[in-house]
Amino acid sequence: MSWSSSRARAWILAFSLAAASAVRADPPSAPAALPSDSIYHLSMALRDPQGKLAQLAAWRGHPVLIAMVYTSCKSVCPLIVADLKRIEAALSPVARERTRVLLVSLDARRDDTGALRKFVERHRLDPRRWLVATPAPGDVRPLAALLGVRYRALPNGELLHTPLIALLDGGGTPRARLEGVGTNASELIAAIEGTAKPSGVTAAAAR
Amino acid sequence: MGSRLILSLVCALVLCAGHTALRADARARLPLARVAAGSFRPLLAPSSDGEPRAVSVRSFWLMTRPVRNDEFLAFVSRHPRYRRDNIPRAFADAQYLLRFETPTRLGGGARPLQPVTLVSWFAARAFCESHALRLPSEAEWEWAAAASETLADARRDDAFRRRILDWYARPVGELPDVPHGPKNLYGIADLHGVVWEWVEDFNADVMVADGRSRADTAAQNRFMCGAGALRADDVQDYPAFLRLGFRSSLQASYTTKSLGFRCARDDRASAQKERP
Repeated sequence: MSWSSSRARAWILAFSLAAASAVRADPPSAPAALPSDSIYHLSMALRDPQGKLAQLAAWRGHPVLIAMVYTSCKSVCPLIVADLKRIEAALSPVARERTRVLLVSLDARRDDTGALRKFVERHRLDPRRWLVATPAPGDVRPLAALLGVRYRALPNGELLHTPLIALLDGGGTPRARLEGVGTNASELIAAIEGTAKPSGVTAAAAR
Repeated sequence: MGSRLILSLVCALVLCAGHTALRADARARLPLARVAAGSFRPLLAPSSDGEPRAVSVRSFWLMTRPVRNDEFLAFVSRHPRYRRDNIPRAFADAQYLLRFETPTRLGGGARPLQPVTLVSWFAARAFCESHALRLPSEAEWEWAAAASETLADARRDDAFRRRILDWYARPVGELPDVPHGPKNLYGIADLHGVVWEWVEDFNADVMVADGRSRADTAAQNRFMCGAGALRADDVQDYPAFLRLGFRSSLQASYTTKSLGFRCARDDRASAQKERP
């Protein structure tokens, strides 16, 4: 009797495992309430500087400034960080408090947790509002594709990439983008102020 | 006892059904041919020091024709989240699969053996994954497409080049059933002459001087890490230049009536080494 019930349990376990793997075979998953154009449809895990896993949608509900960088990049990436800090500094206190910054690595192979920690220290990023994280190697290109970041690896290990800062609203829908570095950010800042207004109606109202 | 047996049986059936659903895609075999390894200079050769460098392509397998409407319909039937009425707009634009009469039927507008078009990069990628395959890289696609019926690298063959350019010059009419054109050295057809095709790293093509920015050189340099590192190697290869321009205009959710795809996979013999 106990044998057969444990066997039934084993079947149920096997079935749930099969169901779970069937779900995993289909990467883009669609939680019910996401807007159709949300980049959070891409369900991907990111490794943070402490080695913990975070979801791309970790800051759902907040306005998020998202950019793709890599920590060994000497030329453009530090300028992207400088731009993000400049934008943050220009925000009203209310908007700054609500806004989060997500830096996703383009270099999944070399940006391990140690490299991420050094980057956070070097740029003095406030972990309460900034997340620097590395996706699995296979997830880099889909995210870049969704954001419109173009990149190519060079033989010396450098990555040629287009600098881009995108603003996601609380539902993960891109609302504004800033291409290049040192670009005038006033429109982006205005968009953040609009998106960051307290209450949950902003995403719907903006459409 | 009887009820226990039935329970196990039901579970077993459910498991089997689940397995068949997953395996069914892989069983509907897509025709693949092996492309021999090679080394060539693509139009834009990646470089760190200003010297264009050759790109090595390991041997790999590539479909001998583009993916067809019947195959894509079977895919969306088994993976309903890729139906045009379900897919998030982030993954495919509003024209996605609009040749199909309904989300689950081809109807008169899309013959089963025509190449599927109006597919986004995300959907093309998911189709290949469901067959345990992947999209070819740009280098792999260009290397396979450099082959004529007799030469592995026919890009400097005038007749071969002219034939391709003639196709680019023709307006897109009704798409033929595939395979349609002659097979190349590897037994692969229709890399030229029927539809444009997605590649995995379509967004590796970066056209810096796009005229939208105030185009001073200093600003252009600030738009890239390692700016100026891509250099055109062979200005004569106009077909490759056209493809480059086309790819750099794409976004991953875009669909067009003349853009399809085919799948690839690693060659087990050459897949031992880690892929770059």
